[in-house]
Amino acid sequence: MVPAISVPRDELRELDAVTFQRAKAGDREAMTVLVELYQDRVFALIWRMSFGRGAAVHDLAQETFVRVLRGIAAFSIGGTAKLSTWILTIATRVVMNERRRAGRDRLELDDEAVAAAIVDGGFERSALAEALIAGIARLPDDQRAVLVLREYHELDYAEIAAALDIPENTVRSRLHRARTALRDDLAAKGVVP
Amino acid sequence: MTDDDPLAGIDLHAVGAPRAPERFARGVMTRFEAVEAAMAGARHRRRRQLAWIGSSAAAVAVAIAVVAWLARPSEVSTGSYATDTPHHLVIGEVEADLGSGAAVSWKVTGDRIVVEQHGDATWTVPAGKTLRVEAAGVGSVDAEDATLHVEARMNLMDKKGVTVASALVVTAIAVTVIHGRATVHGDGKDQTVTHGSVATIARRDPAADPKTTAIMFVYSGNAAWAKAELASFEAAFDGVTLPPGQVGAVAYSTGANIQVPLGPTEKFTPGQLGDAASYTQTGSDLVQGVTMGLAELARATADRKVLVIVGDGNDTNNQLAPAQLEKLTAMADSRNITMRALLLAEPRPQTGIASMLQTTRLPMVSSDDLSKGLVEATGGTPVKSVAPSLLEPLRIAGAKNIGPDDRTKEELAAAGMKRLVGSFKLCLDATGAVRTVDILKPTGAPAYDTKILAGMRQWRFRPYVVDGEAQAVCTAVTFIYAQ
Repeated sequence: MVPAISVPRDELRELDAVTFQRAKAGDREAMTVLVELYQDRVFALIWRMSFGRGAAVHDLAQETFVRVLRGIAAFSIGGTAKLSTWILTIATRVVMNERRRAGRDRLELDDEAVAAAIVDGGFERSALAEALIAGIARLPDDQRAVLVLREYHELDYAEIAAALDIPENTVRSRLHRARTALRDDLAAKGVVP
Repeated sequence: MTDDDPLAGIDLHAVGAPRAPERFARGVMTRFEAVEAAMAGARHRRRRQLAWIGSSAAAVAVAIAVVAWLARPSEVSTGSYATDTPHHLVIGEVEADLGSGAAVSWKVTGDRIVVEQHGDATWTVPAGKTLRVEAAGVGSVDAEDATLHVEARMNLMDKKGVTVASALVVTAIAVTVIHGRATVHGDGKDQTVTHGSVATIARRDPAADPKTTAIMFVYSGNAAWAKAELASFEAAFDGVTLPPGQVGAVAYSTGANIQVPLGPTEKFTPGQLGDAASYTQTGSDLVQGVTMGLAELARATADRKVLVIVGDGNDTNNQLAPAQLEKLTAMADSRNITMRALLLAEPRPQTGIASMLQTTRLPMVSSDDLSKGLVEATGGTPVKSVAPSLLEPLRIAGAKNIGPDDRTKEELAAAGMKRLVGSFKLCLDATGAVRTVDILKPTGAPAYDTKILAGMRQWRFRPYVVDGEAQAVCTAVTFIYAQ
């Protein structure tokens, strides 16, 4: 079973410029540092977007970082996008592509992975966590992606729009629909008023 | 729209997420290095394969199915994957680095995984797991606690005018053991391959000395297709002498039917396929046609069996057809039936033609020159074109001079015409009998054309012989009438 975390805010930092430049130049050690810095965020994103089994998440996360490392030469750290946003964008597309290939829209929950992700905080919080996972899983892929990027990874509307290649207004409308649907779902389960 | 949040006050972080496992970064770097190495090593091959893939499909990997690993680990699981870029694949505890253009399908039963492979892949098999890699028709490799590179080489045939020039039968497997040992089976023997050594097994070509060949043509009976393409398909038979054996044909449209029952090749004439008026339905049930064709071939007793798909590559249900065709292709392979596809229309990837053929790995043959395509698809021999002066001394029956009837002559006189010229294609079989006669350039007097065609069909020749062997030939005969 994979240990669960709730990503602390202080872990949401960016790679320093020197290490980035070394990684960009092909330094394997710097590349490893890059992967280690962002790996939990990528794992968390992929898992929240797919709620997949550990091996599947692992494979998609590896695929994400291979693409990151192969494409890093073209990324500019002084550009408009943060490195984390760029990496999460790639992860998002890897997951979405995989979902499209698999031909599915709704998710099938893996009990073991779900159990691992429920943060220990007493009965009520566990019940909320279970209901949240079920509710998020029930959302259509496009709404779930927007919700996860906004609520859990704190991308702004423009960044989400770029990641999903959709207009900002579409981001807003999908996010609103996702939030409303999730709220209704939680209310129906009685875990929120 | 405002950022009014219906989720306000709800602790969304009650849900955590899995953390990356220890040494994840190391795994990423290993995979990255493998991809880089594969890219460097396969650069030349990739150039060819990019040409094969074509511009429309070059941007994306071709995923056939990626469901099995989502379902693992289970006692029995299956899956398949194809890619046009290097890809790291995890199947339980067995891992593979697939090269560009590789395709694998697998079945996992307990600790054993059996893989059907096209292209190249580096496999890592832990202790306690056994891997068998099979290359259809060539051989197989068994490994346990080993790392090995397996290359299932395919014959690539470039094809002009079609985005997916295609492959492909496996012609050889080459096995390089990087760690541990493997056993290679093929060509009637087993070889143990150890660390650092290489074993290669080439396909024994079953067509090298065929005695008889059974051929089923599975062709589109769609009314629109038949109207546009059937005549040219039939005419293409003028350019090929089919190998001795049996020939039959299945037409598919809405459903499928046996248009020509499997029978002796010498009795087959393209005219048996019918003409445009014979076809009125508009469906394209290609899968049904192939199923019926395979069933017919299963009854044949020939030394070699070939199924040739002739059409535009589409099925009425292009969503399901690729998977079904893939299974049918595997079935054909298990029955030693060779499948070929002869496309008689421009590819339309959005409607399935490219993806279907990519997915099923059906070898396509040339459709730029339909006769040449038939030669490639059937293993027949091309019909030689010769000058009419070479055939005239061999003619033993029929009138050489064929003039217009009196009524046509009167019409010519009334119209002030004094001269008619027309050209006709004449094809003979190896015995010298007339096989087909077609108009190349009409005389301008339909009644005269009809009389010429009828007269030429009465011609008989001695066999045209080259190096002691009688051959089928074609020629062009020009008639000039002047009054």
